[in-house]
Amino acid sequence: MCKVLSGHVLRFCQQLRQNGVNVGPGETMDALRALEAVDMADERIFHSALRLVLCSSLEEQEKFDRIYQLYFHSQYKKEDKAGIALFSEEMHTDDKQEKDKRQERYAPGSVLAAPSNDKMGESKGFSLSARLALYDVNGSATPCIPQEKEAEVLKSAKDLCRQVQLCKSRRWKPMKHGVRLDMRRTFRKSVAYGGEVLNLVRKGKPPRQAEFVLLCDGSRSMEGIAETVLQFAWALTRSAKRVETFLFSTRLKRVTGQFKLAFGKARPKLTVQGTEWGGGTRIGESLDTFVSRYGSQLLNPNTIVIIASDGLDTGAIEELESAMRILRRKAAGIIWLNPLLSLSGYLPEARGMKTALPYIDVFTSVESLFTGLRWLKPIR
Amino acid sequence: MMFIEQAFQEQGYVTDRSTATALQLVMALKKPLLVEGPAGVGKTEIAKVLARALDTRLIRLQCYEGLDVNTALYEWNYQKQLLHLKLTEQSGMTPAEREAEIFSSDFLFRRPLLEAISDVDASPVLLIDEVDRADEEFEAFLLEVLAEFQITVPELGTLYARHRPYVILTSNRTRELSEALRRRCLYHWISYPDPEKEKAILASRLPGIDTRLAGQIVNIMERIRRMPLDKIPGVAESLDWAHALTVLHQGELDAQTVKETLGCIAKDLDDWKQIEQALEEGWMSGNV
Repeated sequence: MCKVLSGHVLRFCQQLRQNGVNVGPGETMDALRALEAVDMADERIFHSALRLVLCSSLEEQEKFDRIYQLYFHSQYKKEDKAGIALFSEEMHTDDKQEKDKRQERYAPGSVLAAPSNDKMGESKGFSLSARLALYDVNGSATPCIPQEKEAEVLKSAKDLCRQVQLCKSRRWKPMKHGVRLDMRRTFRKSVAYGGEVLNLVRKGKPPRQAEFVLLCDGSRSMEGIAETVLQFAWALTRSAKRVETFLFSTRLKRVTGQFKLAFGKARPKLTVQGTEWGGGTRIGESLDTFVSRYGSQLLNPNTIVIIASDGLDTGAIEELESAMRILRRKAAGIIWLNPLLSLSGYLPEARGMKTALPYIDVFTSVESLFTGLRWLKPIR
Repeated sequence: MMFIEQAFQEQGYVTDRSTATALQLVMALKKPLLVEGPAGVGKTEIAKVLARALDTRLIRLQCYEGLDVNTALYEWNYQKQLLHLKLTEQSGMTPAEREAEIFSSDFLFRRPLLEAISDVDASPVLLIDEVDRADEEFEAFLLEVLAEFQITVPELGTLYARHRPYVILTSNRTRELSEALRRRCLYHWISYPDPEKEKAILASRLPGIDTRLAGQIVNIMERIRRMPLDKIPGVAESLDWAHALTVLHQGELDAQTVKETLGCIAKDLDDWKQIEQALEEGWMSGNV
């Protein structure tokens, strides 16, 4: 292959790496090999060959397409403009011109989209400064997870996991009173007795483990209570096999990754933005986002959805209703924790709460996180 | 390049440049191909057609939760082994001979992965379907096999692939696959086809179909896919629908016919209602 082209491919790979696409030396080599194998005269083939080798997810493909367009189809080609400069320059002009429109610019689909916040600190260069700027606009928050009543919360999380009974999995495990003979283990055991089968080993299907999705309202009205819920989320993450945690106020954010980063008994350090913590409440919109973006991946008949909110919604009520309906259909059950329930004389009369109520299996106060949640419904 | 497109065309699979390039690279780089995309866009079909086009064997491993090594790789036929031991008890063979006998390939169940690397004539196509349904542990094991194409059976030794299989993995994204597995593979995303391509697919799979009817079907499907449905119909549904309409001798589509045959495309009560409502609002009459 000619040197000029391979140089270009190398620089292009570098460019991708700087923008958060995971491209290592192996991929770069594969890209060069791939170009040798295809008909490069056709640009569409050239493009799709590179994309096949260098991307490993749909999100990366979108990023790839934008960078490809910039690299191979714009006037920026010289080395002095290569690298971060290529992007940060545009970033600057943007900065001066439209400060207010900034948020839109970071929406997926824009060239300057900052990588998802889950990958915080992974990539350097323009994206970091972009993210910092974003924080300036919205202000960031660091919810603190309390340490009090830790034992109670841990116990109630464990209790909840134990109470939830699911039907059996399809996996076979050796079990004392299993329904079938485990021939492999029986045979292995018989070797000790010269091939004489003395001990029979049985196998059966163990019960499946429940998965949890916890959606925590972090709005102003939940101040002081949302922290307790996060504490419960932390306890649940330690007790159950799979727990996904989301925070929302006016916008939804997945914080599961931040929870998983904490080792052992350490509390996770959460960093969220004003739209997820301490803002207004748009439950309907947030649940709708959850259902449409994560629903197909995270909701299945083993999933229990826990929503912690006071139900004082300021958004559209139709969205809330349709989201609750989908949650109800796709998940095993819904638990709603409402802090107002502990107030005497409280009735779920607020618009949002009234709409959501028919879809809820367990409606309880936040205090039950200390005293133990009771889950009564058996699951399929 | 043209070879693959042409071969696929002959098999009735309408492909685009990027899919053809993907398959060409699978053959040239000997890397597995991970295909993702919504349900019913022909992900599994790629592997099937590739096997037919290359005139080679298709070996399929359907993944599910709880799939383990014994079902994916190999298992000894324990019943047969036990029986054999009992039958040869009086034969006067030494223990070593008897052992060698029961641990020979006659007593081995070959599961798809072992089958795929032990083909002696040509590279087979190995389809690992819906890999996202298998557990993460299985994924880790799969990595090992896909990297080396060799399998160690303790009693038999290490088996190497004489012909590296062409591996196609499909995923519906019910679970995020690990980064390690993704990086081992070429990645290809298939989305719903554009109207032109879908028309070509209908024409190629149902040769007798009326061009006007095909056009109408494609138009309506495109619009339905833009609705916020729970189960968005894929190409498989278009084909089913077209087939149903030809069987019913419907040469043209109107709101009534769509309503009567809605079962071919709407697979969920809410979706059904939503489409019906759209039909009642005269959403298609003016445009079809």
